[in-house]
Amino acid sequence: MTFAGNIIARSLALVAIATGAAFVHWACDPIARLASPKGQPDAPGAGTAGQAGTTPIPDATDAQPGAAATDAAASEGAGAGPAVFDPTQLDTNIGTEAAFGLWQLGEVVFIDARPQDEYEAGHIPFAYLVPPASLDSGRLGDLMELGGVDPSQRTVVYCEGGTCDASELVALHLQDMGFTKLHIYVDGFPAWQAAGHEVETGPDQVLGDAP
Amino acid sequence: MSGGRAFGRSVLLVLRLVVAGLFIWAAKEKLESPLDFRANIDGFKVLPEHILDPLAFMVPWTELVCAAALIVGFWARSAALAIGAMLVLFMAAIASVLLRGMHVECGCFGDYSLLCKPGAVGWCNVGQNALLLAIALPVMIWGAGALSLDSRAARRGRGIPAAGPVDTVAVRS
Repeated sequence: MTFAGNIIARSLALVAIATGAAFVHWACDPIARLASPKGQPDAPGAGTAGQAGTTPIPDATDAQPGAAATDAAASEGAGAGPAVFDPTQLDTNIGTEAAFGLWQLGEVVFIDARPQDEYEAGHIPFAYLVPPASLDSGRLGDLMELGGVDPSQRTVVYCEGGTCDASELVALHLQDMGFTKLHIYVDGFPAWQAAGHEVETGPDQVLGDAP
Repeated sequence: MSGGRAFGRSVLLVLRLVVAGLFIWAAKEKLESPLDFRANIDGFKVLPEHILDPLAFMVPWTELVCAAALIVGFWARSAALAIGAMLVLFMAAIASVLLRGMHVECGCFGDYSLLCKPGAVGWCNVGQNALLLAIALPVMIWGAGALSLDSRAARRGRGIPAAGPVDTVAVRS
């Protein structure tokens, strides 16, 4: 083998080692599994335009108040989307339009993973307050018992958007409890508010104060 | 060993440690939040959806493995070559989104930025990667330099006939 060939072969060997490590990491990391949950087929071109880090975007197509869910679904995808809003075609990470479309469906559980004071200052209507700090005290059990939430229900978790990871933490716990139709609204409450969607204030009437 | 040669080997050591340090930092930021990095590369809209999940792990792990190889000076030229290839791909991807008029976040160093202001990628990010490439280039050409496993192996192998090409030509006398 030539000198250059030797160098290139060793480069490929290093990449192969990294690929092996990445595969093990990918197989073991629950976040990776969360990114492609069972029962939710990957949707080519389905809405990922609203994911974290991709939409401080002036030309992002935020849904306007009162927009029909079908319009939201159609404009969510990178390409031409289905004419009918189909939640099963959504990715795990969703943007404002998809979150609004799910909210309009009415049968989707919304969970607010922010601190209680922020929740009380304003939250998505009918969202439950479940900050990560409350997980160890059985808040999710209360959610299922008092809120009547079933793990088979489609569930959306959100926090402040941006770099906040509270929604991911809560989603991982929900996944451990058997929730399979999970979505993370990555743009979070600020984007919901900025889009002009309805906002509710005050404490969680069902679960009460977070411990 | 001449003073100039020792200085050159020391410079190579510094360059490879600088590149290694930056790439370990970059890999750490990406591996701390694979979902964010996946979202970042998805924003570039140059790759099919189904390979984003594995890629979100492969890129940082490749950065980490190559950086580790650079730190100890093992197959340093090959590690620098792999890093250089990644930098070229990153530059191409960034140029692609800029030419398409898109606004996406880099995700290069997680929530942080090295030389360019945080936020949407710009030509500054292309320049930043070109600078990193320029730092890695001497290691690709001349090898690991001082305090490396490569030079140690070369010293051991020196004088053995038909040893074949090694990764540390720079330390051959």
